[in-house]
Amino acid sequence: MKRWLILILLGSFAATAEAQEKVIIDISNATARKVSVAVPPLLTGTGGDPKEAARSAELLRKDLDFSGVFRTVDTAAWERQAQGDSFEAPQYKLWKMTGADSLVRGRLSRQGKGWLLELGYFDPIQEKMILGKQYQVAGDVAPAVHAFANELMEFITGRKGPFNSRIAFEYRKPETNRKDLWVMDLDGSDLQPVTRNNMLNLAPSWSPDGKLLAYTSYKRRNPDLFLMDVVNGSDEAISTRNGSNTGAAFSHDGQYVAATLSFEGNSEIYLLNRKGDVVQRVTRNGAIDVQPTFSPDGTKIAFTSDRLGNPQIFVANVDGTDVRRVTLEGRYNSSPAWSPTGEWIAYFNRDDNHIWLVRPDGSERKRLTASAGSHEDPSWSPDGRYVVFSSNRRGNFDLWAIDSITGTETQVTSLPGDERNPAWGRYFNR
Amino acid sequence: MKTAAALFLLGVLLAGCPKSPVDQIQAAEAAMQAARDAGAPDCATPEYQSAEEMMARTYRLNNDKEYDDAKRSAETAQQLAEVARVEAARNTRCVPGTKGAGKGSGGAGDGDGVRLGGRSFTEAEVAAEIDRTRTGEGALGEGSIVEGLRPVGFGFDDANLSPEALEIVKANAEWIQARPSVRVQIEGHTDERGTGEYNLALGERRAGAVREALIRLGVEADRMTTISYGEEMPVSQAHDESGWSENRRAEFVVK
Repeated sequence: MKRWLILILLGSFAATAEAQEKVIIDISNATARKVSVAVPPLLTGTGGDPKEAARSAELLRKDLDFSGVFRTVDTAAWERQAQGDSFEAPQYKLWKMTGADSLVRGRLSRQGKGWLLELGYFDPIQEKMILGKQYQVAGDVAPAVHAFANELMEFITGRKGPFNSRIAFEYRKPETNRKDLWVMDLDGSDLQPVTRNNMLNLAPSWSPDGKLLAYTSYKRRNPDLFLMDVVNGSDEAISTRNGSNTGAAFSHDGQYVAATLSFEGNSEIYLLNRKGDVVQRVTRNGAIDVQPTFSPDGTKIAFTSDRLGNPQIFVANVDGTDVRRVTLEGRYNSSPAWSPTGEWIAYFNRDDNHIWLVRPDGSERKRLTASAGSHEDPSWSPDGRYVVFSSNRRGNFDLWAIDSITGTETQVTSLPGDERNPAWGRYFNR
Repeated sequence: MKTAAALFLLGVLLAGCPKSPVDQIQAAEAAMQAARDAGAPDCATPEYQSAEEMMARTYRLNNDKEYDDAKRSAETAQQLAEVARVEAARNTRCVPGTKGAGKGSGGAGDGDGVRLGGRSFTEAEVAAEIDRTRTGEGALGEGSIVEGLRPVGFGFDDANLSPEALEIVKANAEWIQARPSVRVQIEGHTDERGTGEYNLALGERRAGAVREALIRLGVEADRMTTISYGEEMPVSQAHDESGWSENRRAEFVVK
């Protein structure tokens, strides 16, 4: 967790209320035109490093293209003519010629052993700054760049972006039958294994504070449930009951873990406290009941069950009452993921190998993914707009993310072997 | 007359009481030493641990004068030790005598908690590392697969035993009943299609169905345990029905 607290937001530049009104766009409309934006390499102030300045702009372009809200335009042809451009007074007429509706200009300066990063969002028509932020950075500039992308997303859409969040996933190296759990930042940096036993380690799930990972491991020769603290490295078994102990999901207050246990002879969903004691049995049925996911208010659980003959998504109260089937079509629906906003349950439809969204009451459903290959294991971003999933469209399984509003897709990993079962965690700084 | 009776009695005792399998135990011990020399305790931990457990079982059986079982156990231990030695030799990152990459910092209990903020990798580095190591396969669970116990096949999303499958279960029941000291673990597996966790439950159901059938055929329940690996341990890598049908199975390992 080396990135906690190294980033200090120094302040914001003034942005007029009048300008704010003009840039708000309708985010609920999937066909809304993307906002085009020019993001030339950052200017360098005193002691600024042109390479870091160029890299910062590159990171920002990636974030904005990922967002589904923006579309970056190529600025290479104009950069040479921008000699003498300044952060305080960008050459609006020049940047307007790129065809972009808006401009991000920034400046990177040396400050002590770290950096001063200034970033602004400009309207080249009105010729003014709409949003400006200053960051004091001790180490890597990337978290500050992503923090600005989050601010910009919030300014435009009313909802913070997904950047500076972390993803855990199962990673199977080529030609092995073993899986370790790996963790990385959304931008692909800080990629590292968090289990290293070279056995089978499956189904990671983050605690709401982003410090604990619940997961299933065969390291004691049985699928058991473990809780690992990724901050201090401690790791403890919380359920090693007979049979399978798997599929953990944290409640949003972090107090409970829902899990699938089979110690009573059949796979059922239980609520456990963080020590692993059973607090509540949720399902009571001779069928397979797996993959619990909590509603954001913690009152309901969605899960996969084949109680009606084949796997479908059901929703029940956490005490097991009022069980309702929510996927009414198809022969095989599984992997429910309740969005943090509560609006949708994402799931895997094996009939067409796509991720679908369904309302928690089953009233409406729509297909989310549209590319070739299989799309599995959905998990929501902390802001509730994006879904990460595994896809084998390039042969082996990689992680991809999709904007649930515009359908914009971005590849997140491309390791050799298979990346499966992503768990999108919380933000790691603010 | 007395001498003759004594000799006769001695002969009966010798015939009815097989000798301690000294040769097999020595061969297994030699294989264990070779595995240790190759760095197996650090570099092929699961495999070496299995071998060690099997060796301990061998000594126990030998002490209890269960010589037939001790002999089989020694042979299995020798095989496992050889797997561990090969695994360790393949693992080029491992230098014999040093602890492998397996231990996290500050991990409690299982020594597997790895703190974030450690060494991170670029995708290119991961690819390069894979090219260098190419880790091989060994036994994940304990015990060993024997020829006399055949895997039982299943249909898609199905844990029912077909008449064909039941014939295999019957043959396996006979094999187990003919060896009263053997304990088996039934492993449930699925094909790659569908969702991992659902498949884990499905594999468990398959293993359970086979166990129930064996109990009905007279095999004592306490001689059998079950485990599910879901879709994680395929025997075939083919992404078509030929591969899938091979992977939908319950396997038997002798413990």
